[in-house]
Amino acid sequence: MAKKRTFNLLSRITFFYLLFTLGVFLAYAQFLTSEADEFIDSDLNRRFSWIERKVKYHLDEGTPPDSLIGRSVTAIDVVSKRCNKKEFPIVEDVTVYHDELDRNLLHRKKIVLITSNEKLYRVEMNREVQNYYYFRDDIYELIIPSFIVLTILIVLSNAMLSGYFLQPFKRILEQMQLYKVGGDKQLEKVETNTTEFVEMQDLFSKMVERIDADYNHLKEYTEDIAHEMQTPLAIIRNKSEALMISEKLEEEDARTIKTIYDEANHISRIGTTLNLITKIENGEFTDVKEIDTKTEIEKQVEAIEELAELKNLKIEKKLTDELKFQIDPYLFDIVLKNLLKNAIRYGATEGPIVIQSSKTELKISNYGAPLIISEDQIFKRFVKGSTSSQSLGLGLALVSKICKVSNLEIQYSYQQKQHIFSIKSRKVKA
Amino acid sequence: MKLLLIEDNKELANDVTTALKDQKINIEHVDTLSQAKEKIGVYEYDILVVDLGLPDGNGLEIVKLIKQVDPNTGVLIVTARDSVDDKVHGLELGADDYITKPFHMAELIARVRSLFRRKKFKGSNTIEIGELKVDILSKSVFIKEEEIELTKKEYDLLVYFLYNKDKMLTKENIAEHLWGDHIDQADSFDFIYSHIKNLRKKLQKNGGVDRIKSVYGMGYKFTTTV
Repeated sequence: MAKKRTFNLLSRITFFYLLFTLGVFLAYAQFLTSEADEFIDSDLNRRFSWIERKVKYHLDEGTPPDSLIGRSVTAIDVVSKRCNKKEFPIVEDVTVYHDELDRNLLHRKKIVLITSNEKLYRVEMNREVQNYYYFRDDIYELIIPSFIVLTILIVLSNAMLSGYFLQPFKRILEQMQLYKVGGDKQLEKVETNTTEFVEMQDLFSKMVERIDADYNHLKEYTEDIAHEMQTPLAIIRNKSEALMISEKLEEEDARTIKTIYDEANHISRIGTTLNLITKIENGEFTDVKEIDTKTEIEKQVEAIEELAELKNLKIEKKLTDELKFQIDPYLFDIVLKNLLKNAIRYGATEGPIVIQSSKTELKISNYGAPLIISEDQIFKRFVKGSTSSQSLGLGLALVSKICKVSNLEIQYSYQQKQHIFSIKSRKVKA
Repeated sequence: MKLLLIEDNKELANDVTTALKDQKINIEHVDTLSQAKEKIGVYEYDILVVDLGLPDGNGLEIVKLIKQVDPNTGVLIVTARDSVDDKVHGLELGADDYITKPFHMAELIARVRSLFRRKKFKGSNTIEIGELKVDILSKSVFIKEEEIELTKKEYDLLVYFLYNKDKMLTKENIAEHLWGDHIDQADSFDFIYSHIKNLRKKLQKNGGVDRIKSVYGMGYKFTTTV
């Protein structure tokens, strides 16, 4: 799915603001224009009626009509009284050639009928309106450039101010990104006096406090359970062991007690392992050293070689001195133990268990049937590859957790009938 | 043998006390650091079993103290499974051995016995049961004065049986003793079986008696009476 395009808030607000301003400007221009039109109309009307009155006065006085023709009055004709009076007054805009300026100018023409001395005159009046129209059109010519100037100013100041005003916002976002549940990093307070950002920051730090508190409660609870159940379990185990040893017991009872003993052992081991995982998560293993993998592997293999032999498994080592890991030795010990334990448990005799190291990578592989679970489940807690009730289902979860906190990358693959676990150092980001 | 147990958990202390008394070990128990200090100020002990997590302080203090007062006392520290630091620190301070919680009583007994032998018998140190004789120092095993060859694991297994004679050892218990956490216990039962089989065979050479009895398929017992 294509990522939906996003816009930053300020641009978005600015865009709508400008759109609105443009609307207002246009409406205002429209208003001014119509005001101007009205003004022009009323001004002309006033003039025309003044001229009309003047003409009528002169006609009434008996002045010959032709002498009245001038700049304002362009024609006076006598018309038949039967003409259609309803057509008048006629008002229209016409272009008139102006010889002095050598161009056409817009004029308004008004034709009216005047009755004087029993005669009906058709009087044509004229007035130049070009300048009025120029003035009217200037409204748009003024408003549109000023809108453009405003737009440019706003966009520019936005670009500059967003850097300044939004900087706290961006830093708060950074803080949010850096926040990790259970991490011990203190959130840095971002100084700002913008109300929204102050609110956001307050809200965020409250939220973080709550999350941290919840997380800690849960962690304490898990730790307490895992830890506190160890002693009672040890007692159950010891008591049931004592009972089993007792001579007085019938076989059937002994078996029942054996079940209690087994299950107590099982819980105890789950508890210890979970406890260990929590400790690893809490970063309690900080004794990070450069580990020479070859020596460690050889030590571990020596301890389990016999077990492999008893299962008719061969262990092949192809080790180099060059592979070193930065890790707490105790944790690396657990990783090796668990991977080797796994290899021996699930290893099939058709081929050897191979432990191979190169300059960058450690590989442990064993033959066997494909997994019955999906590959991405393999490092999850309580996912077991076998139905054995004795298997905890925590070994690989533990291994993957250790790799994660130790900046190692572990991968699983199944190739040519072999289960392969490979570990390499993760590139540490500078 | 005189032993002082410093352990704050009452139930665990009771279990340990019962188990060790069974072994004819003279055991005294205290549950705080201060009581322990008083005791070792007044009496002498062959062995101290110290739980490191005590209510009034770290058990390592006692380790330090006893090494000044009576360096010959054997010290066995009891630690939580995953506190590596304690283990290392304890051994540096002079503790002789450690055992991690939770432990099998049989394991504790074996550790205590072996520690006692190391501390008290200089020169010869043998365990004899009927025709069987084990020299702990040279790690050699004789049947009717004739030496037999055992593998390292077989020898470990035999000594573990000898320290816990006439008691059933569960398979889990044996697995943990032999391999620690290198193996999941359920996986180990076949391995134990083959070790037991081989050990039995070797012990029956030269007219030796089969003293290893299987108990309801749950575990094995080394009997002194045939």
